[in-house]
Amino acid sequence: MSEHVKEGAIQAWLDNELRGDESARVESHIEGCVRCREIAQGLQRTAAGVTAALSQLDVKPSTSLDEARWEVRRKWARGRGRGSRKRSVAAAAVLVLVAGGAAALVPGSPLKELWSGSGTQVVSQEELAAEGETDRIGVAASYRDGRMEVGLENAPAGFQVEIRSGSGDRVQLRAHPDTRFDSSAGRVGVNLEHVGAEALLEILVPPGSGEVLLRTGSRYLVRWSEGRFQLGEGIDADPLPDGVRLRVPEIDR
Amino acid sequence: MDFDSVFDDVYPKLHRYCLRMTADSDIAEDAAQEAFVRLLDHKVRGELPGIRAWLFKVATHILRDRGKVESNRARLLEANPVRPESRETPAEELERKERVRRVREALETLDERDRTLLLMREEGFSYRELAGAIGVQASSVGTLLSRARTRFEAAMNSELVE
Repeated sequence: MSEHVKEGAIQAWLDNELRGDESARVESHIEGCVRCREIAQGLQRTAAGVTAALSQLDVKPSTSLDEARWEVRRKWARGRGRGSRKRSVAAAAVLVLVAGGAAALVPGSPLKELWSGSGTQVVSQEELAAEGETDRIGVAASYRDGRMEVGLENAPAGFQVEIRSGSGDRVQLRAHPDTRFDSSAGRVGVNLEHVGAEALLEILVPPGSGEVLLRTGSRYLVRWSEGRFQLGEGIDADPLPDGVRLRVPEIDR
Repeated sequence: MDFDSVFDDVYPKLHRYCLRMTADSDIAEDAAQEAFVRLLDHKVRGELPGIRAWLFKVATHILRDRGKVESNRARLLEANPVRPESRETPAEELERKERVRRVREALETLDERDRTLLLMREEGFSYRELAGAIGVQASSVGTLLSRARTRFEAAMNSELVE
């Protein structure tokens, strides 16, 4: 009879954590050793008992997987908003917006490079109700790799956002499970009435899409066209390492 | 690997891990979600096993930090998960709460390293990943794991005897 196998090695063997030759050596010993076989059986019983006992603690999460995912994205969008408030005032000064729907950047703006190209830009836009102005609606929008995310805070029941694809390209929307959509050619209406005060909306923009417009009522917030973001009137912006952040002083209900 | 795929695969396991760590459903959801927020923040890239290990490690730190701030061990021991859909009779509910209390108290007898080891193994982590999470050699994990399980079992049995 060879020397007994240490308990840790038996445990590792039971857990399929030993290399082939070592596993074969332990297995061979256990087959011929009553003492080590009893230890292995005891460890198996213990492990099964532990698994069964721990399962007593399990309860179904209060939120669905989809809801949890949206909650993560919402928290992330809010966290990014907290990061660089101090820069917003100075950065906003370099941005001039043209009334009537078509926004533009001042030539030579330090933001200009951030706005050209595509695929890696991030735009986020927010007005946090947490600052005490509860009658305002907060919006956060970000774009990355063809995906735009829009978060809304403090939105009243029935508040609607409209996303328009000017070229008629297919724009995919993902939102909180309780969000309701209505659509027609080139247009999608999003009704957040059943979502509550906060919601997150994700817009998948196919490469080469002519235009995607995010608007509330008669006012547009963000226009994405040919890989460039343009801002609605009165919206401020500040640069981020990977894009720009937009700030909306107030949004029409 | 894209975020949604990682989330779908890991979140349920991470939530269960946090729940077993804390016995508090709200704290568990908060910690699991916070770990994913940090995943987005840090732009962690790679294959699923590496990301999964990273998320569990971060969640463990979040729970540890939260525990330090709130000193809520006593409260957590009293916590009983809510099962709103449950159709238990009062007697069944009482019995379940008692089982939960016993498991929680048995877990509390383990030190943090053993508890982490036990609970992460239950979520399918390999010895190598466990070693990385608790800062030991992979060759030690078998011994540590069997001892942790034995201690847990002994604590459960001592509860029965009392």
